[in-house]
Parts: sequence; C-alpha cells; structure tokens
Amino acid sequence: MKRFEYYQPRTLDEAFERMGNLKGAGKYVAGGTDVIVRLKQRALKVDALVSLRGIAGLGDIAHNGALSLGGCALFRDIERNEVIARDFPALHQAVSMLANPQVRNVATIGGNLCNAAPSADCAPPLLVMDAVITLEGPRGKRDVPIESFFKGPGATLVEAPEILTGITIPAITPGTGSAFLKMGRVSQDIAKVNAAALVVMDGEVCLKCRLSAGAVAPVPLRLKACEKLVEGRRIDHDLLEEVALTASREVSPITDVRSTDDYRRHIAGVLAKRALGDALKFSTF
Amino acid sequence: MSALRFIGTEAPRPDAPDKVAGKAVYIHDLVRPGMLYGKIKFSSFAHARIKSIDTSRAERLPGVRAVITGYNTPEIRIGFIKDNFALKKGKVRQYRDEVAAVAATDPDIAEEAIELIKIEYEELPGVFDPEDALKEGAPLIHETDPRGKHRTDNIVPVPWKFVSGDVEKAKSESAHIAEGYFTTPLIQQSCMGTAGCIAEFDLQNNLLIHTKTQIPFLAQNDFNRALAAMGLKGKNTRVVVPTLGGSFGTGLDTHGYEYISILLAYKTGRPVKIVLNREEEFASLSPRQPTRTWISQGCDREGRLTFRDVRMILDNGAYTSWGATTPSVMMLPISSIYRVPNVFYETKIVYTNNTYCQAMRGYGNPQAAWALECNMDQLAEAAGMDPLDLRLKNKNIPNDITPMGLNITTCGHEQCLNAVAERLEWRKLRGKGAAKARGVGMASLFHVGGSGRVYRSDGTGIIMKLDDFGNVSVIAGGIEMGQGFTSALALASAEALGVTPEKVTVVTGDTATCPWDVGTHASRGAFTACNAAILAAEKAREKIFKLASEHFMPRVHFSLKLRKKKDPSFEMPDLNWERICDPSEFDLKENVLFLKEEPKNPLLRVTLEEILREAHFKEQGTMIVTEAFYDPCNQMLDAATCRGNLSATYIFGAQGAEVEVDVETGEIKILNFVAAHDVGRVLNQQTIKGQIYGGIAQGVGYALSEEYRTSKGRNLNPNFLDYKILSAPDMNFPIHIECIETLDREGPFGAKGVGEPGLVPTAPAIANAVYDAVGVRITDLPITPEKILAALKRNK
Repeated sequence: MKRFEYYQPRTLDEAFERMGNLKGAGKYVAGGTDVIVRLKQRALKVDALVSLRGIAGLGDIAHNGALSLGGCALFRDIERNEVIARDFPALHQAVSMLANPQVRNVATIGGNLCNAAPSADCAPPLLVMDAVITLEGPRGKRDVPIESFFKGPGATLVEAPEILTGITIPAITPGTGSAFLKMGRVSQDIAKVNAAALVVMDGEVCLKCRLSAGAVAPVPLRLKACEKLVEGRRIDHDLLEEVALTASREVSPITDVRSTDDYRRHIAGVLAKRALGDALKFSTF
Repeated sequence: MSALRFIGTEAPRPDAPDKVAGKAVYIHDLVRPGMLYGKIKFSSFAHARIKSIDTSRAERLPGVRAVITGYNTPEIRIGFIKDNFALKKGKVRQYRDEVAAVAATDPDIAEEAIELIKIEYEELPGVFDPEDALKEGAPLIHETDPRGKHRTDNIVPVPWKFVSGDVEKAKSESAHIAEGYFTTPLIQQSCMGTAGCIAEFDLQNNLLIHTKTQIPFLAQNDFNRALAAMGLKGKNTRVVVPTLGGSFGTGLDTHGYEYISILLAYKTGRPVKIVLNREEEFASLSPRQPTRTWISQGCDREGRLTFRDVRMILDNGAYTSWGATTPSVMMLPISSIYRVPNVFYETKIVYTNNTYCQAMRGYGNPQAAWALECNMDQLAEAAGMDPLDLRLKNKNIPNDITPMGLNITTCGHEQCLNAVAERLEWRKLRGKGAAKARGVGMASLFHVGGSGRVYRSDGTGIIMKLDDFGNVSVIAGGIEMGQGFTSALALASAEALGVTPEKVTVVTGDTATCPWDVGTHASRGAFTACNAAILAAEKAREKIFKLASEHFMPRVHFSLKLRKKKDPSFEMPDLNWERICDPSEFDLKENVLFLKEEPKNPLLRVTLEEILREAHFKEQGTMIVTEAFYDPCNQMLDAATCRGNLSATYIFGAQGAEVEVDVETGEIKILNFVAAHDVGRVLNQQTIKGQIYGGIAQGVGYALSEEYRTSKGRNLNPNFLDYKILSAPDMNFPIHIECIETLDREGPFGAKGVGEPGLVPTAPAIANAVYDAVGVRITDLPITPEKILAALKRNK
C-alpha cells in the first residue's frame, strides 16, 4: 500500500477546504471498510484520505416520525435502534445481514451508499422507503431522491468535494410493512441478489407497493412493473407468482465469479415474491 | 494398562491463550536486525517465452538492495521430480512463475521496484484442461525432462496403477453395476496465517531460515542442496519454524519464495523476509488437485461388492510437487474401503498451464471418497438396497488383510455406520422426506491411522530433558501448526512419565536442537511422537528410579527430621534410613515418587524435583536426558504393484447429514450432522473434537461453497471476498461427534491418527442427502444452488 496523508477535520467546511486543496488526489473515508481494502489491493490510489469521523453529528440517528440517519451512522447503531427495527424492518434486516459484527462496528451507511456497489445491502430498503439523500458542499446543500443517486457501479451523483451528510426516510403510514431478503454464497457475503419490499395496505388491498432488487443491474433497481402490478390489488398466491415472473423480466443481471445471469434472474423473482410476502406479514393494519 | 490420569480428559491447549491474545509470534511478527523485505515478480502470462528482462529502473530505485532473476543467479532446481526452478529462465508455464525478485529496505519500496521491472514476453498457446493436454498436438508444457531428455507428451512421469483380481470377469458376473463420473475443483488451503520466511546467512555462510513448513528436516536437506547449487557445498541450514496459523499440506514442499529469499539474503548479506499477502497466497501457493474420476462398482444379488473400477485424471499444473504422490493415499480407500475382491485403479497426472498443485488435508482421500461414496449410493439404488444396508453388508472388519496388503487390525467401521444411522434416525427418515425436500445421506472414510510410510523412513525423534524443578522439556521433531500436536504430546508425555501435564513444555521447530522427524503429515504427528515419548519416558523412569534407589530413603529421612523439628510430638517411624532400594520398587505418579508396596503411605513419598536436585547439584552428579526414535511397523508401497502395509493401523469413520433443499432457490440447509470416528483412543477430548469439527467445517465448505476459480490459468477469486470458506454463522446446525475407541495396539495408549479424516466423507454424505431429498445427484463439487436448480429443472 502506497503511503498517504491522513486528515481528520472537525467541521464540514474544513473538510471541503481540505478536499478542495487536494485537487482530486484525495478521498473521503468514513469506516474505511471499502476504501482501505481497495487501497491495499491497489485498486485505488490517493495522496491523502480525509476522514469524516471527527465531524460532530454525522453519526447521529434521529426519529420524529421521519427517520434521519447521519451519513456516518454506524451500521451497528442502526441495527440496534429499536425504532428502526419496529418501523423500518427492511432496513433493520438488511443492516443485520451486512458483512459481520466487526465490519458493522465501523462501517457507515453513507460509505456503503457512496461505494455504490450494485449489491449494496442498504440500497434496496432505502429505495422502497423513498429515502432522500442530503449532499452538502461548499456551495450549500441539496436533496436527491435515492432513486436517482446511483449512476452505475461505483458511480453516484456526489460531486467532489461534496459529502453525503444525511439520509431521510419519510414517516410510515398505518398499514405499512417492509422486508428485506438476501442470498449469498455463505452467510457473510456480498449479495448474489438482494431485494426489499414495502407495502401500504388498506385491509386486504395494497395501496402502495415498492419493490427493489440489488446485484441484478448496474445500479440497485426499483422494480416498477412489479409495483404497478400489485398496487390496488389483493396480494394472493397468484399475484405473488406473477410478481416473481415480472421481476425476473425487469432485471438485467450479469454472470460473474459469484453467480450466473440466469440464476440471478430467477432468484430476483423468488426474492421479490418472498420479500413482498414478508412485507405483508410485517404490515400492521 | 493402569488407570489413565490425563489421557482422555478435557485438557485446554497450552498454546491457546497466547494465540487468542495475539502474543504468539508468527512469521508476520518476526523481525530480524537489518532485515530487508523481498518481493517476487510473477509472470504476466500462463505460457510464454521470456524475451528480455530489464531490471535497470528497479535497481536505481533508492532503498533497493538487490534485484535478481534466473539469469543472474545460480540455477536452483526444486520440486518432487525437480522439474521446477526457483527463478524461471527461457519460458514461463503458469501465471505464478517467479521471474524476478527484489530486496528493499521497506515493503513499499520492494513493491514499487517490482513494478519497475519490465519483462518482454512472447505468448505461447496454453493448455488448461488436462484432457486437452493429453491430445495429440497439444502444446508441450515441458519440452525436456529434468535430465534434458526430449519429452513428447504432457504426462507427468509419476504413474499409479493398482490391479487386483479380474475386474472384467467380475463385471460380466455382477448382478448390479453402477457407473459414475465425478469431479472435484481446485481448493485453496486457506490458512489463517499466510506463508512466508526470513532467510539469513552468518559470516561462515551457514543459512538460518525461519519458515513455515511441516517438514523442517527434509527442508533442511532441500536447502542444503540449494546451498551446494550456490557454490556453498558443505554449508549447513538451520530451519526454525515460528508459530504457524494452519498449514493443511502447504508446508509439505519447499517453495520458490523460500529459495528466492535465500538468494536475496546471500546477495545482500542481510536477512530477507518474504511474506505472501492473501492475494499472493491464493495466486502463488499450490492448491489441492482437481480430479476427474470415472468409476464403476458392481455387486451380486445379495449386495456383496464384486468389483471396483476407478480411472482418474489429475491436473498437475505446470510443475510437480509431492502432491503427485496423493494417488498412493487415494488408493487406500479405492482398494480397501468396504471389502471388494476385484479392483482396477489407474491415475494419469497431466501437466497443464494451470497453477501447480499440492496435497491438502486428506492427501487425495477427499477426492477419492467423493467418487466412491457417491457411487456407493448409486449402486445401492441400482441394487434396490438401502445405502446403509449396502454399506453394512460390505463393511470393513477387524483382522483383515485387503487386496492392497493393508493389514487391518482394529476396525470400528460397523460401530461408526450404526452410530451415524442411529443419531440421524436413518431408518425413520431415509426416503421419506421428499414432500418437505428433506433427506439423509451418509458416507464412510478409510485413512491411515498409524502414520504412512511415504518416505523410506517414517520415523520421529523425541528428547526428554528433566530439570531441577521437575519440569520436563519434550523436544520433538514434529510441528504444531494449529492441530493440537503439543497438547497431545504433553498429555501423553505426562501420562507416560508420571508427571502432571503443566510440568511439560513441548519444544518443536528447530533443526539445530530438535531430533529428526520425517514431517508432520499423514495424520502422524500425535501417533508417532506420542509413541516416541512413551519410549523416552520409559528410559527416563528407569534413570529416575535408579537415582531414587540411592536417594529415596535419605530424602524421606531428611524431610521427616525437619518435620520433627517443627512438631516435636511427631513420632519418627523406625525405618532403615540407609537402605539402598531396588529401582523396581518405585513408581512415579503426578510428580511424586513412592514405593509400589506402600502407595498410600503419606510418609514414604519424595517429589520428583527433590530427587532430580540430588542428582544434578553435587560433585560427580548426573542429569536425566533421554531420547527415543520411533519408526512404526509399516511398509512403503512396492513401486511396481502398489502393494504394502502403508500404515501401522487404519482409521475408519462415517458421517451423515440431514438436509433440506429450497426447491425454489436450490439452497441447501443442513439440519443435522453426525460424525462417528474410530479414533483408537481419545487423547484429549477437547482437541479431538476441535480436529473433527474443523474437518467438518472444511468438508462442508468443500461440499457447498469452496472453489478456486480459474480462467485460462489465472485465478479469478484470489481473496476471501470471492473464495468462500465457511465462517462461524454458517456452522449453525447441530453437529454430533462420536468417538469410537477401539484401543489399537500400535497406537500410543491405543490412539490412532485423527488429523486429516474429519473432512474426508463430508461432501459425499451431503451429496447423498441431497439426492435423498430431491432426487438430484450433483457430481461436480461444489454443490451450488445454481447446479441444484438447473438439475431440478432438468428433472421436471
């Protein structure tokens, strides 16, 4: 690993300034579970890392109906938050399946999103929850819906020296249920396929449906055709099978060392169907 | 044998606290004064001619102390048949070929220097499939053999063939026959501690090398030959083995990086450390051989086996390691598991441009068991029998000599099969779980249990040294690599000598101080070393009792006089305090000497340390140091017929699994796992379970997830991100281990070697359970959900 400078600014402004001065040769680091590994593998070369860990408030989790997560909120804190476990089960489940406790103790949700892996476990739940991402830079703040945040593998809307400072998830309405499912080769793994579902039920009828899947396209994907299929209908066995079939058609997975495109396509359907079924069980009406 | 005090107890390992707390010194932790860091430049092609090497820019980089290539260093031949070189000249035959190396003052500089070395190649057509390599006109991996003779094919000149009876005749007479084709992938040993070494020379040009090895004394021999090749004939090597974080067969050969480190150390006059990082470990160590096996077995109307026909092709990769001898161990189960009169077995080992292979835990047996035990279930189906009944019908029995000449003495095969069947509720569950996609499966194992005479010697030495405080140093030739060797040896030594285990310190891993040993392999560490320790302890006891004959009564008298001084009411017994006892009157237990006739008399006792001090601490004193060399009663295989009693005893076992298959995803969930092993005797309850649990974890990984993937010779998953070994959360199913004690007469306290077998039958047991659950037989490991789902679709 090539030597690099390490800075730990105390404020956002200091961080912007530091990053600006580095003229593209620096990178922000939060938990470091992606960045340091890539540096060691020489997949990434930098002159300096600018740590976000010293900036107060970036790791906070707050709930007042809506849920706000600081960009540096630790996965371990999210996993242990009782409100999230109760109201946002898909996020809770995704985070508890992510890597292992050692990694979750240092890895952050903002880091996971900025790394922009198509398989990022926290992306599908945030997609189905219509999360909004706050980016801050020297010229101010902007909010972007998570759906437009990812641009491709490893690519996002973030423009240096911007920092992902927060994620806001709208308050849930009565009748909401959500769930996340993941398939890996072993229990601690990058997802071969992951999927999340959210439903808002009015009695037997689904008012709102959100479905998403990861590792099946260049970016984490909303399964909009499936959502359309479900909204306004009763969710029964036949509909679930239809969802599975539609989901399989909506994704465009690749073959790599982890799995094959055919298998991923099939599993995307199975997981979409099962996540929807699970979300239904979590829904309180 | 009198009641055992320590053998068979649940004894924590003496090395565990330091390892858990991070205090143990691995090669990664070791620093030598003035040490440089070495780094290797590997090939950029699987098969290419080296046109030129330009090291000038690397040499100019500040901090670089040496840059070496095959062209500016003496030629050092390595490997089982010496078809490999420490540094390559002329051409490269695999991606991991070492083309150049540097030594620098820090690892970053070394890494930078490696990138500055420019090599021009002319790419040659490669061959990556062993069957393609056998075809006429296939590119030749080696144009000449190590003697310079022209080669015309890619067959490694290490043929294996075993024939017994008349297989063709038996085939025509069999009532039922089952044929199968089974394959296994490359497997990386995945040691937690990656490989590495530090080489350094003294001013007399003798070599000291700290290195990760299982064969310090054979390595000493290899390195001494290298010194001779470097013009240092007659100079000696001292091999020191630091704490090892697993080895699993990786340390059975000496490796290119070790010789490169030696060359760099010699050139710079400084210690040179080369430690492989994880990616290098994947890319440049030798994995377990992949196999292709064509098998058929037959039985008569009653289900008695009539023949077994096994033909294999092994992908050797570009060079030949000791791994080329794994067919000698594959042959054990192939010739002898279950009683079968007619056997044909032949293996071709083939050069390709893939990474060259090595043995891994089980030494070929997991590959053999995969084909044999899956095919046993196929035969059971063809014969309309329950697979358990077919196995019981043909089980191995005690006191039997197999067609290969293996002399089976103790044999708990039947107990193992029955224990697995009972624990799995086989009779209740088998064939009944289809509705829930659940099934049960089992497989047997047969392995060396009394070492294996792979080399001419199968010996091991022990030195037992007692000090003034009653401490015992047991100095052994074997190696602790995480398996629990020191724990077993400490318990056995304590038991045999008559001291408590905490008095024993096991010293290993230094060719200058430890007695000779052929290597820690073939599940032989505890078996051979504990046997040697028993011999050394007997000698030590003789010496102790001889000393005691003179000093026992005076010492008793002395201590009673002291007691009388403190307590005037104490009545001194009336004994002959000057009496010279006979050595045969004594016994020693838990550090205390006493008279056999009066074992309970609290007055007639002297601690071992008192006697030892009497011996050392006087004029014309003596000391107690004994040694023993144990070489088991077994035979090397006859080269022409492949017959011989390879091991002093054999180990049997059976494993069984209950699984559930998710028919929508193809995922396999293990619901229950049972392992019953005939271990002779349990030396340490804790470590033996550790051995077997660990074996099962590796076996399940072999079955379900592990695969070293390559594309045209290049490894595609050189890290644990994509090479999936199991971790703790994956072992989330009940595992029941049953140790069957058959008390083998050759074993120390009756124990057999248990190091490797834990993983041997695991994969076929799971595959057989999957078949029982969903009627799908996966024949190529690993059994992935992708394969299951595809097979389920085909079955529809």
